Amino acid sequence: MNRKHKEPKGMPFAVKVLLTGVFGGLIWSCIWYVAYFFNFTDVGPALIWMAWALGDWTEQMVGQWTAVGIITVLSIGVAFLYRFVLVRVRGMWMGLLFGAVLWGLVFFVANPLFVELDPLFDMEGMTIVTTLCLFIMYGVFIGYSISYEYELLQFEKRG
Amino acid sequence: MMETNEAQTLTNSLQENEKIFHDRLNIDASFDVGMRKINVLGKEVQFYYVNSLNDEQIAIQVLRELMDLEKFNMETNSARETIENHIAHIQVDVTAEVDQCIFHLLSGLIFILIEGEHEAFIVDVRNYPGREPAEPDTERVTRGARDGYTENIIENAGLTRRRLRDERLRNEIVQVGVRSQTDIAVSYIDGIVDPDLVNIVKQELDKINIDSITMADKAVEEYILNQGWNPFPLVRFTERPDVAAAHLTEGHMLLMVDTSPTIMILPTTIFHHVQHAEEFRQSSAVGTFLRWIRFIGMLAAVFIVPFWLLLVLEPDLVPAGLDYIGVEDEGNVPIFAQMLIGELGVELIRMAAIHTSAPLGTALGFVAALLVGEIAIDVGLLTAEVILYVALGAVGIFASPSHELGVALKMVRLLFIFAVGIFTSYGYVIALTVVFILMVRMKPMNKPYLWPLLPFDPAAMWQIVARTGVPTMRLRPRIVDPKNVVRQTKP
Repeated sequence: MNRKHKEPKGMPFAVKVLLTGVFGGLIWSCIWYVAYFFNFTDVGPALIWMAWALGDWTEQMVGQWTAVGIITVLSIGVAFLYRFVLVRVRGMWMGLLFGAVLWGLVFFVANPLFVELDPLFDMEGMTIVTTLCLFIMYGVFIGYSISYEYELLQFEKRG
Repeated sequence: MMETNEAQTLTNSLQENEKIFHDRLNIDASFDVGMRKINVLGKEVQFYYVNSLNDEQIAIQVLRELMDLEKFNMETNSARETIENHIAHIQVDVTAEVDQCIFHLLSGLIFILIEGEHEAFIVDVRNYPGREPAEPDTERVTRGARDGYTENIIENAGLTRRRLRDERLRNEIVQVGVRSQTDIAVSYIDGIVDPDLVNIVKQELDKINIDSITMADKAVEEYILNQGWNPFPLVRFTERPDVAAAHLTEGHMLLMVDTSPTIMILPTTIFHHVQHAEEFRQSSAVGTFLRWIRFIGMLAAVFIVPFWLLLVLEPDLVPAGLDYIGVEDEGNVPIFAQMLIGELGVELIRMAAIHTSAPLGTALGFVAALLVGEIAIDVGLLTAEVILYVALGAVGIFASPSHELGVALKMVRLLFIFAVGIFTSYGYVIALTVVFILMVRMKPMNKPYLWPLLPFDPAAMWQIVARTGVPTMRLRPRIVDPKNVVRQTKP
């Protein structure tokens, strides 16, 4: 390779984690919104507004889309959490578990925080199934992406 | 399986050698295997041939040159040396092994035995029945190269090498199949490809111990990838040399199997199956547009049909403002059953169309469109909406450039339809999640099948979402683990 040319390099790990968080949040909260739109679930992404009684607008399109934006930003934090705590675990199953635990945290442990959210046992079965499935896929997306990238980096360092 | 012969060698006696070949090949029984005796320089010389695989003109040239020796009454100390010097061909091998002689004979080469010599000369005069390179039917483009692979592995290697004059392009050949002795070429560019991958594939090829692989590449694929009952295609097949060469330079490897015009590209992810050469023949914007139309078509084909069925079965799900979704007139048959009938019908028509010759195919089209479409509605068997959505699904599947992926997606859609029909919305959501997880879990050749979507690789995903310009593609895809990552450098 000619030395005068600049050698292009891949993205740094931290940037990848950040982008994984951003797109993970964006993709799955958009799908969540679609699922909400078609009444698969009674709560949409606007769930995060429910911590405060802010009025009706949160349930409408503005509220949902701003919630999508907030989830996208929050997901960066989620991605870095995974990166610092669980990154060494190989494969996708930890991501799946991570998503399920995250769902448990939001819908069960933190349930009383969300004023307008029904307690878990009063929720519609369909709402539970849909949100759980969404959180699992979200967890797999973030967890598997980050741990695979980490595994590749370790491999490249060694090889 | 074939009984294993001990490695037999030729003897100094021509009569004994003749008997060996007569016994093993039973030359009198097959009309296309033969032997010709001539006398050269006072020695008897025997030519063994399979005339169905030989180029007669070249064989005659070789023969004539030796006959000329006799005509001019040449004097020589060593008949063998003179004869070897006068074999008019560039590719001449010498062997003392009977198995080698027979293997080459049955590959279309001829071998020459000389009285008093225990070695045979093998001359490559083969000419296989085959066709000229033609544009592959399933991968047509509006512009660009019109040649395609043929059934001849040598021609195929040539078509690839014509596009890559790289001295590091390797075409390693192995024979697989105890009876068929089929040639399989492993092609890769040394210095780019992941050597571990090549070794794994070669080991897998060595392990195959079957009598014949006349079904060629598909059979080999099943050995290498342990497909099991997974319907998704784990390798990309192509009949286009330009596509194959492009993948070689990306760091993929190719498997060419003699007698098959389809070349396997390894390793593969699902996104290799949704790209088409046509996109790279158009400008970036047009290519991206084409790709997005295809994506939408394929996604719609898989998800919309069962989703519509769900909305019909559970009208509560339909959001206000979209009330027109659903059926106007339910008809006499439950919608779920109508859907299955429709899917079955479309699939039957498609299958029938493949096996029907072109003139009959038109008639078949009329029957299918008129009878099944029109009359089924008129008699109240199917409603118009079912036909619409089933047709939408069928067209979307046809937009998939890979036939194998299309069929797999169709099966997934059928699974969703059953899930919706039996378990309604629970079925749909859970089936979606399970299929998603199973696809994430797939790792053919240890490469995640959904890469770069999952595990997410932003830069590589961008190349899938958009057909980026060639000058901007600076790195080889990481999925193949290339030894040399840089594709081009900035000037």
